[in-house]
Amino acid sequence: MKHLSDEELYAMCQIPKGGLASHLRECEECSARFHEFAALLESAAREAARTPPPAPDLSGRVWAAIHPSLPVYGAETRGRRRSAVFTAWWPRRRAWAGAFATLALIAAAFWAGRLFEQRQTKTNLASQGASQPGRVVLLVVREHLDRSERLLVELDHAGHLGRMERGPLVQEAADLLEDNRLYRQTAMATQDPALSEVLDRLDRVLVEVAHEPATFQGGDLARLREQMNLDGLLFELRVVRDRHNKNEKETRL
Amino acid sequence: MESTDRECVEAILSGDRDAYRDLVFRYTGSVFRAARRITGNDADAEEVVQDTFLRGYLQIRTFELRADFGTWIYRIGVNCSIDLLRKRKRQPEAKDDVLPQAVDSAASPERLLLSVELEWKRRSAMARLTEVEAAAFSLRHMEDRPMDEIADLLAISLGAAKQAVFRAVQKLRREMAPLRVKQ
Repeated sequence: MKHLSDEELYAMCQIPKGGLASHLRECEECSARFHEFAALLESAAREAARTPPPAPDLSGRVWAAIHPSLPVYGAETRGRRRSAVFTAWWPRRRAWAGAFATLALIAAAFWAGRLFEQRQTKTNLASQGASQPGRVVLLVVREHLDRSERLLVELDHAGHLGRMERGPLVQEAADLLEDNRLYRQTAMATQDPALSEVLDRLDRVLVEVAHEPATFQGGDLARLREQMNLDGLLFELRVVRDRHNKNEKETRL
Repeated sequence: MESTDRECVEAILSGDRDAYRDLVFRYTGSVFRAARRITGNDADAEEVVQDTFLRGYLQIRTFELRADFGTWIYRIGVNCSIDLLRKRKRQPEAKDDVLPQAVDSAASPERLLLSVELEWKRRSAMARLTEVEAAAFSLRHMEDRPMDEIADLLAISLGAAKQAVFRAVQKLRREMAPLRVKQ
């Protein structure tokens, strides 16, 4: 026989259910537990019914005890209460409204900024593209020129010492080579002969370093420096880069 | 003419603190009964009543005039009762439990004794409940408050209130079970 749970028995004490009542008649164990619950609740109900009323003078005693401690709320309090009632109701709305307004302001500022930036960039690029064809290319290849310069400096430095760490330089040259070709073609298309020429010379050096690393070890490196005129290329590259930086500054102003 | 609760509160806020006297006299009974059932003795209940009305006055600026003052002060009373139970648990007093009075004068002496013992046992078991369990049990089975109101008064969820009542019932039943067998 499946016994009733304590929850069911407790519920039965409050709202008797027919089905469960028949089980209680048949099951002594459940019946005993049921009577424990019932006895407890009866005991509580008895005490509740017997709760004495407060002493007749209790209100008076309480009032006498607390009266001296009670502050007097005046006109100031009325004003404060009105504002307290108002602020009790209003602050949440006001806080939310404030939060939404702030968010809306930030969002509006963000979008306005983006819009302005987009328009400004378009205007700048359009004007630069019209007046200085190579300017657009320079904007894109600035980092490429910096990286190339670092590579040439390392090569130059290694040439003076007669030895070099090949691995990183070869890898860097290979990476630069692809970009360099792309930028050179773009420079030619945008009719920037100075940049185009520098990138062309740089291309030859990069090919040499990336694909024939064995040829520029020891004495070969000195030969490469002379053949390729690395010092001259480095100088030209810096000139082009400086011109780019100058143009950029002028554009900003 | 007797002022309404709302008029009393408005008068208090306008500077007439004596207007609070009406409210004290009007609601001492209900606060006392709840406190008496939760704390289990008159002295504690009287202390709760005093604390409740003092706290009520000091918080009266937060009372919303649309609300029912009786319910509001009753809630404060329940909270004060719970606070007092907590205080009592932190500072246990060597207090002699007063045996409850028997009610059924027609019952046999043995049965009467058992009944008194049963109630005494339940009271001492009540002291071992948590404050929330004791309050929840008293509110449900002595004050006869509905569960949703108990949850509201104790500022807990309905499920938590039901659990608190049932836990209290289980603990009390286990404490009283040996006596029940004798009966």
